[in-house]
Amino acid sequence: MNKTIAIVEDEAAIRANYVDAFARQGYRVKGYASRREAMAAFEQRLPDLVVIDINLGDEVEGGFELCRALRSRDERLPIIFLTARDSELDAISGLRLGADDYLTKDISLTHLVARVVALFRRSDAYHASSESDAQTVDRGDLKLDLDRMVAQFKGETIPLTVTEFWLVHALARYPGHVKNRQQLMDAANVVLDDNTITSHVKRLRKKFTASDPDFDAIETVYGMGYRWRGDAT
Amino acid sequence: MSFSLRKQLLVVSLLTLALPVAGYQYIREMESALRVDHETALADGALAVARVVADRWPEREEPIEGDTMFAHRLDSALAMDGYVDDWGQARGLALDHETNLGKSDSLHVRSLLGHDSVYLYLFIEVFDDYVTWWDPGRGPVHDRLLVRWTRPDGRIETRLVQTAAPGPVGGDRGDLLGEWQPNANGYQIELRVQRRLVDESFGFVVIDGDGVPMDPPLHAGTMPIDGDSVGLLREERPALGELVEDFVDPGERWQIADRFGWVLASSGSLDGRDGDGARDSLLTRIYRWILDPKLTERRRVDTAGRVFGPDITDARSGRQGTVWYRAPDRPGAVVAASAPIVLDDRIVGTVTLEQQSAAILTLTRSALTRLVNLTVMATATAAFGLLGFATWLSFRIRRLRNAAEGALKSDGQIRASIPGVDARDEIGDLSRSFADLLEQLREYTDYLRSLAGKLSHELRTPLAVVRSSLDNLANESMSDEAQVYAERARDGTQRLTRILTAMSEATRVEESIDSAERERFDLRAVLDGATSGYRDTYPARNIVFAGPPGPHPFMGVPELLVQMLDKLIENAVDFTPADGEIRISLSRQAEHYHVSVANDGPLLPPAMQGGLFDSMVSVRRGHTEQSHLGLGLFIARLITQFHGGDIRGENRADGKGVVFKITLPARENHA
Repeated sequence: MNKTIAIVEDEAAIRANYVDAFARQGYRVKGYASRREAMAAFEQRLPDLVVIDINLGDEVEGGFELCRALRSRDERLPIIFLTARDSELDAISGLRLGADDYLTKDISLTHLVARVVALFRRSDAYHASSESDAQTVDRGDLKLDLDRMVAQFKGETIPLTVTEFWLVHALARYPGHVKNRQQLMDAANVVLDDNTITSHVKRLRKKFTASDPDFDAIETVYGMGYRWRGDAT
Repeated sequence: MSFSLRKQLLVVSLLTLALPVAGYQYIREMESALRVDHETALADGALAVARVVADRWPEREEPIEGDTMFAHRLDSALAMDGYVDDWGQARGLALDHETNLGKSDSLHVRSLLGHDSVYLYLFIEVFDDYVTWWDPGRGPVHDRLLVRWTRPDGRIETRLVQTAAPGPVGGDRGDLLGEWQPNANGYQIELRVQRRLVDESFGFVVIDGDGVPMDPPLHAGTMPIDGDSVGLLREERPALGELVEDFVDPGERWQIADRFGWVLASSGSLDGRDGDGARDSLLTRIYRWILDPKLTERRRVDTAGRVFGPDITDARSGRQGTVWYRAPDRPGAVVAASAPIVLDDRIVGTVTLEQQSAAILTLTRSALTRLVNLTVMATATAAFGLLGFATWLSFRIRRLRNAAEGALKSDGQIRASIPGVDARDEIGDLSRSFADLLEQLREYTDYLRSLAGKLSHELRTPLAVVRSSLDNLANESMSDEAQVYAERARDGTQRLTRILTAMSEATRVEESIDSAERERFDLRAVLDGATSGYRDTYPARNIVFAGPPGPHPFMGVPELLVQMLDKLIENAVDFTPADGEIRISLSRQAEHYHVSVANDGPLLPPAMQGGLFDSMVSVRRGHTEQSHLGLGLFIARLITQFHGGDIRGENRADGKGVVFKITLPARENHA
């Protein structure tokens, strides 16, 4: 059964392009221009994944509203914000509402598709949790379940977005190796500027620190990038 | 030289000096009214007395053809010795008589007339260039004297006094007795006659003989040689004085004069009122100078005992006259009011009442004193009030000016806090206008500052359309030529994306500054680490770090500082030639860290130093692969300011490159 993707985007050209791109990958895609239209359709049936623009026509924060409504109906529904807004505040707001990722429209279709694929794999893995031969990365306190895209630190699950998971994976795969910003961007399938990488790392640290106040495994190497502290076992 | 508001208002406060001018005018008018009242009262008094005096007027009035003579009262009987020594005070009162031919060198006569209770005395001093004694054999060619008077019964007596030699003389009837004495200028004669023999007229004439007959001979005196005519005899009339005695108040003087001005009686004294005498204080003299009316010098009593003055003239013509004059022997003014004495429709004399003006002066002086005091107080109050008000005003204006000057901060931001916008006056209006203006300017500046971010945001959506379309296009079958074009379009969109990212970078840095959390870290370690990172990133450049060993603790946000350094290094790399050096150095001076990034390469244009850090200013020439909006150094400044430091760009001392100097406060206990 083909997965259903809903794209809520008020810009017709972008919407059509995204619809085409996803359809090309074999997904069933529906495009909606406004929150009301989308909500009406979702009343009937929930899609398997939703891509939402924040600014929907007259509703400046319509995307946030929509995300909140969807999250209240389904905790596991993958939601991606795809927006022109690149403010960190908006990103934090979006993620706080339970979105699985927050992307700016700079992202290429290839990267977007890669993310969607990853998200579907994660939700599939979640539903098929019985599979035992899961691919994992084990770095002392940190355990990464690559299929379900779940990170655990000292036994506690750290809620990470897809982008964040990829970043952690890129760092932790070779502990002690410095990853510069470009490498991290490539790993996370994003084209971001330095500030955004810094923000991402900052948010990552916060998430780990919330679970373990003594967390210091992600080290800044000024002028170069970041590395996972190898001896943090 | 600024003429401050305070000084201006202080000058304006001098206008309150109009107050004393007005007050002075008022007092002058008051004083003038008082004076008129005073004059009227005096004149009325004089008139009343004049009526009383008229009833007792003792003089008989006849037509006269000779000069009136005034007999001064003498204190004691005189010795008939031909000398004036025993005349006492009257000596100074001699009258001069010209000859019938006017002033003459040959003859000049001075006379004195006096009386005591028994005798009438006559002293005559003759200035004669050629004295001729009587020679009975020669006829009337000698010097001689004629004396004539009326008896109480009306008969006219004439006596001839002549002598052949100095010595006693007696006239031809024996009722005259006297002495003839020669002197250096001529001769002098002293004579007496019993007072009871003489009625109301008396006269004399000196005839100069000179030894040759002349017709008429040269003569001088009070009457003609021939005929019965004789001038009036005047003397003080104590009875008249007693008459007015009852009217005399302290400080007043009465004078009764006949119609020729001969003072017949006077009573009272100008002294003694208010103790006003010679003890004039300076203040009193100033008041006098300010307040005294126009004084005439024309009123006087002459040596012979005649009184002259405008008031007397008025009174003689039948009107009441008043005059203010300065008495020669006393300070201040004297007011004299004269009234005519009318007897049988004829004016026979005048009554004069004089008073020192002290009374009026006292009144006006106290008024003037109070005026001066009040004026000084009012002026001082007004001046102080205006000064205070001006101080307050200029304080408000200065505060407004300072606020307006300080509103535009050095980095181009606008702080829209203008004081005094609540005031409801014009300065309040001005403050509100300034506040509005600054608010608009601030909004506009904010708009400009956010324009880059907004623009990048707005451009992002159409860019996404282009990019996603190109992405889709890549999946369509295209000819090789079409593939090339699609690839170029993709490159173009990537560059556009970078530009947009750079445009919004400043905004994002500001956002991360807002949410930044400071931590303590070793500044040296961060700089050193970053330097090695740059060495890897830019292998073609020689990047070195120089700094003293040991930890340099600093409270701040290392990520931001490194981001600032990134911008400076990027900038330096762009300008440094391939073999050039980029030197990052750190030093500590007292309370500050100095971080500098110096590079070899072209110098800054002089005009650009300092302005480099404003948004969008770039000194790059030509095009480079990277997009440069001049935002890098602006971001560097934002980060420096966040850390409480400052940044300057200048040419290196050796003139071979540029150095950016950052000063950061090294506060150990930075919050």
